[in-house]
Amino acid sequence: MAEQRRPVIRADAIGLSVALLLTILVGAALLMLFAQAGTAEAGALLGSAYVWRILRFTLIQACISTLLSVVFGVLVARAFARETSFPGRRALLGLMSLPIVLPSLVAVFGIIAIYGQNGWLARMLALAGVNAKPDIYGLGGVVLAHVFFNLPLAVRLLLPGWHSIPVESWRLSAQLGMSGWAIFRLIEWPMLRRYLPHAAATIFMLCVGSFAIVLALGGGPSAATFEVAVFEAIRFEFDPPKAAVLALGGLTLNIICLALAQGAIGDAAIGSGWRTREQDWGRRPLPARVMDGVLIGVAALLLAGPVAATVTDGVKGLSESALDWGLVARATLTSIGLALPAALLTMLLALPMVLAAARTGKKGRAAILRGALILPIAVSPMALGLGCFLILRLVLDGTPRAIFGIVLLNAIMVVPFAAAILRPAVERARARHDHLCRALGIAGWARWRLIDWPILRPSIGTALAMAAAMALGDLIGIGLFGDAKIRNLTLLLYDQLGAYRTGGAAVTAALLMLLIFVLYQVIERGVGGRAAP
Amino acid sequence: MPHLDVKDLAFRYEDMAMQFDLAVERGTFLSIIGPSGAGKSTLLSLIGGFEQPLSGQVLVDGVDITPLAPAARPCTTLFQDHNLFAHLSVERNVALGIDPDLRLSEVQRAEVRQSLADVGLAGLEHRLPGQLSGGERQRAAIARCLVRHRPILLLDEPFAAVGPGLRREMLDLVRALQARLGLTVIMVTHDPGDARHAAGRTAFVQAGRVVLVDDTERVLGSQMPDVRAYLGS
Repeated sequence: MAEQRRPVIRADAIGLSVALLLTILVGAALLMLFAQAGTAEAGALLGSAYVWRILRFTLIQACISTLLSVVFGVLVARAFARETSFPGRRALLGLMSLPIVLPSLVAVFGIIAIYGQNGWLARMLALAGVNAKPDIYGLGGVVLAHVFFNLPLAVRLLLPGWHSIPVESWRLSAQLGMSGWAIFRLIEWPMLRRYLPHAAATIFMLCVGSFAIVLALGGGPSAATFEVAVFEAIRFEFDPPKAAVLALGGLTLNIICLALAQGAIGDAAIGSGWRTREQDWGRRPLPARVMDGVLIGVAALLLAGPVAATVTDGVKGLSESALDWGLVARATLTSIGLALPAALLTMLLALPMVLAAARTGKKGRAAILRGALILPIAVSPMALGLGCFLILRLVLDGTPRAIFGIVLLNAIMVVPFAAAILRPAVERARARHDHLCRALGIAGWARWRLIDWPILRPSIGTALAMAAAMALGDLIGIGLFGDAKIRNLTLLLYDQLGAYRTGGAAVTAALLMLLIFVLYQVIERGVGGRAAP
Repeated sequence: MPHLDVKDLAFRYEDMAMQFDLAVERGTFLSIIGPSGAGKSTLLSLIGGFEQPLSGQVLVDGVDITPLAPAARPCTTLFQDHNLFAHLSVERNVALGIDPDLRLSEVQRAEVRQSLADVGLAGLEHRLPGQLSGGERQRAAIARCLVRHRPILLLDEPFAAVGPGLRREMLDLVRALQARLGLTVIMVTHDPGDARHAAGRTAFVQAGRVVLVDDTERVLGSQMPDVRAYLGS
């Protein structure tokens, strides 16, 4: 018995050590922030009109973005729930998961290409004889980009709500002859009351902590979030104490939002596990079906438009003579060279913790592991990045510091997302095989090779692919740590957008999107094996 | 003319083709038994209007009800589970059977209370479904069936979730209501014991067809190989 238990304890120990290491690192980064902030006139800065302006803009844009995303998300999710069989439904739902891996700056480019001064919309209006110059910079552009990213998220978070409604409820509504309003009030609204708070809180948190979108589309110092202000304080003014104070401000806001979201998540957990079946909506009135079609069509257009614009403008931009191909090639290699080690490190951090959390029998240990796994979400990326930067500055210099810092930051930030992909598979594998493995004495390396790896392989492939894709879109790490010598595709795109070099930006954006797509497929299939979805 | 007449009703679910014929006289208690996956619940859904047949008719007193929406049919269905909305009180859940927008007159309110008393739930009007036992929830659902005043009551494995003792009690309640109101009851069950307890008539469904309809004792005593195999005797 003692012989068989030893490997279980060892797996625990590795996971716990990683969790401890991660916690110490994050703790040290925060301490460093506090130490730096202590040297600034923190009180004066926090009370200044500048900080209040940031807070005001952050909350206003987050409220509007969340409201639009959620309201539109409810309508679109409802349309998807009701229209269960139309050609392209699966493809459209697949499109809804695109914004997870699409770098914000690529979306920003696509949105400018459509809604900008010389964008498709302006050109179409000109053809129609309307001479409008849409201004995409400022509150409107930021909200538009946030809806682009968060409408699909809202749909993905809310659609399971409709699937959780038992088929008997729909049959009852038919049997009792309920009107559309009665169906909404009696069946859909009670469900939404469980699902909406979580969706809204999650989206609000993402909008409050938004960085690249506000940086690129904010259009001035009056439109900034704390993340943007930190970035500018370090990159343009190199004022670490000021940046540290701002980072702590952003961190506080983030933690408040997270606390609200956590409360909401608890609510959403109730009432799952009902049997569901696709509902037959064949006899719904035609106007309702047309309305569903319009909603789905508008959502599809909103999502596919910027992506299509990026591709076509990118192809067009290839003919531009001013393109510096050496620069683009170097940036591409830099992106890959930074993203792959970051993704590997993410896996080395996440997997032992997820395995240990699933296997440990001790509640305290499981709580520590789960806490460490969501820690990077609680600490805003910018605060963590700045803290790491301030620490590494003491021990490393130049290019090694940049490479180490970028890889480390990106690896840590993606840990919660990788863990979310790995956890269900690990728990399933454990529930199915743990007793059998222990009964047969399959343990340690043999268990990993024969039992765990074949089962977990597809999930590991997906998690690795997503980690690489997210690291490829990194702007925070490269922005904080990058020096003149290190520039990845995202930073190149940022510089090109800032200089209004639209042709070059188009090529970079399209290339980045293509690179993410290819790398994602290669890793998911290569590592995940044939079984990968 | 039979009260309910199911004629050449064709339906397809995935690979399984079904074709139902069934005639039921007014005031009958008919149990439907048969192996799982034979199409028992599908037959009930077709009568209730929740599924549309490929062809064929459902006649009630000689009138074709196939084109009617579920709410317009002269029948009401009691499901195995989820009959009540968890956020509405028992009283409001029953009231939905009278008006799905819950605008009730005083007379109608009194009727709701009376039907709750009829199923033995007097005094529990203001409870939420979560505060009731499984048996009490089904009683409340039966009360709603009563206020809808439909001559045909369809029961889809209604008491599968309650224990054997309570199940007999619920069956007796339905039988008493049936006798008093002259209802036609069709009950799908996976337990031949339910059919035996309910007496009346029984239909045996196999592979998407009604292969035998007779008095319950004779069906359960039938020497047909399929019936014997199903009953395990």
